[in-house]
Amino acid sequence: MDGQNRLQEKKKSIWISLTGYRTLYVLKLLIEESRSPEELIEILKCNPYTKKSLSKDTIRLTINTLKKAGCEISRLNKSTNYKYVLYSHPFVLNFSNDELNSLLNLRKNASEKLSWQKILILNSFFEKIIKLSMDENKIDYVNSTAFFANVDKDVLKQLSNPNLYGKKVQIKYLSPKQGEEIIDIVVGEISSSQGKMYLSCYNYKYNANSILNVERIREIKTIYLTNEVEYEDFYEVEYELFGDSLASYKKENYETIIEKNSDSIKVKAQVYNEFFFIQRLLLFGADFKIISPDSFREKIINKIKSIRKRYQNEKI
Amino acid sequence: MKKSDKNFDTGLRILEVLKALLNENLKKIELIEKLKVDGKIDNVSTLEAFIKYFNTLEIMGFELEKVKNIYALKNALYQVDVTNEEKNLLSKIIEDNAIFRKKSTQKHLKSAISKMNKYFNSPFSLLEIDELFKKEVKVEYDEVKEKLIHTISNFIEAQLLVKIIYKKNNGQNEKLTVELKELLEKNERIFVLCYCPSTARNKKIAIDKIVSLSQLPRKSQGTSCLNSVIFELYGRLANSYKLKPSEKVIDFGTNKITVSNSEEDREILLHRLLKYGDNCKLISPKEMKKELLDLTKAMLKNLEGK
Repeated sequence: MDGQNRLQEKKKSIWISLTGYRTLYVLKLLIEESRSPEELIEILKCNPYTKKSLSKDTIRLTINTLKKAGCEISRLNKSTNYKYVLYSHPFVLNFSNDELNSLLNLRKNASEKLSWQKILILNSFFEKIIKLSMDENKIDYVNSTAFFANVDKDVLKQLSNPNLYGKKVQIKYLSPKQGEEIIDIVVGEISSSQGKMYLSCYNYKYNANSILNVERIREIKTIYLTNEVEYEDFYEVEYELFGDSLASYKKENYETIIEKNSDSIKVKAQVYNEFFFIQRLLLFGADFKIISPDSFREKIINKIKSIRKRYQNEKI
Repeated sequence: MKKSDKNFDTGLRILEVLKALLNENLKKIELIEKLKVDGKIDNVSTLEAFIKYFNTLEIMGFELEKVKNIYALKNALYQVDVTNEEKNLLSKIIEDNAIFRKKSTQKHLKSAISKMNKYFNSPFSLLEIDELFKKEVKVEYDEVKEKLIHTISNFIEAQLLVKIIYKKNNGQNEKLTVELKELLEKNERIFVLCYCPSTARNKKIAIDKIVSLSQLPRKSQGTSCLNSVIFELYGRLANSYKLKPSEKVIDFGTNKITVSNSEEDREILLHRLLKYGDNCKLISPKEMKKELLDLTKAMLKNLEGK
């Protein structure tokens, strides 16, 4: 080392705390793996700042310093192979309860508005972050309260593969009434609503389109090479919206506004999920009219009549 | 002191500085105070010693940032790979949600984000985090609405009764004395949820319908006198129904549950029950049943073209 560098090194070593440096360095080494005092001395000897040969006593005092700062380190004994084992330390990501609650509220509020794909990105991010706390209780709590927490990841990976769309598959499904059953379906679109993930499909059990809760799909057992059914994944409905619902209308991604007036709009919807679409229309109350098709208008009319039927014997 | 208890004080100070900076961004004076109050440290640092600690941390690979006399640790002991997509999504949801946060929640959230930021392989800067939390309202809203939202937020914090005049659907103004409970957003429209002591009901009012708002010098008695709405649910809906915050099950049978709802805005609840179709029946109050039947009659009129 020439004179200039020697001077710079000397300046640096005046302005750092060698004891502090050694303490931090030993912490980093123990985070990597368990080490014996001899191993620590050897490694520190090769370090440009701690190159002086250290005694076992110095190592012991350094370990004590780490313990006093809140590190949980084993004693040297046969069970640890006479190595220092770092069980835990306080230099982890440590959220207070208020901080964690604020994060979880943020996630919940956001998840109510995001698409299912974005919710999964958000969940994966939170899973990554909370792992850094090394607090099993917090990790379990954060992961179990996420939207779609009970959706099987392997099942979702397969269902969201575009190559599976329109294919006939055999699934193991946990039905609320029948328990576990094996069903053949033709895979349609995935959608989400109010914290639940749904799969639109053609259901061979009912020989009709239906919607399955993805959480209840336990396994995709078989992918068939052919399917007998020409799966029509959507049909079109045109409706008109007016009144107070117009002010709070938010277009869904399957809808197109085809006409806009001062007091009404006309919307064309590609209906993949009839159940949710009907629910959406009912929420508009008396602020909508179905333009086409007539068959769908009849469906909604019958739905409303069946609601009124519940009260037919009552004097109101 | 036993031999086994001896340790290096300097080493301990460095570790305490690191611990403090992992949890908060601090001014130098606060860092010094933190170490003194801790009780573990006897004699703290002169300026020279402080520079030593910071140099030591930097040599160890910790990056420190100083903005307006605040010291922040930019990186923790280990980093996690956070993609740009995740960072952008996080920024977006923080900004979108800003308007609905109380000031105390804002503080805790900012603190949580600052903490986790130290573990990002590509962290936000201090200024970027400040920018994220500067936005209290959405950019699209005009100044008048912005002011109104601020006023409403302050009234919510104050928990005093408020006189509100708003425009009803029929164009006429209605005057109510209410307690403002919270700001809500639905389909990019902002509403304020109010409790009306005279009717013992909650009401949701769109802020763009508010004509005037003034605070009264008295507190509300609380929301314990809300009148409940009772309804029954059937079939699969009954088996899978998730209770809303103000609801409880008061009776159940095979494929049937009876639910009591005490806090939800009546109009919103009515529409929600409507969407459950014939899997739902309103039990009480009677006037709400009439509202439901009148509404479904109007819906049929529209659909049948009569």
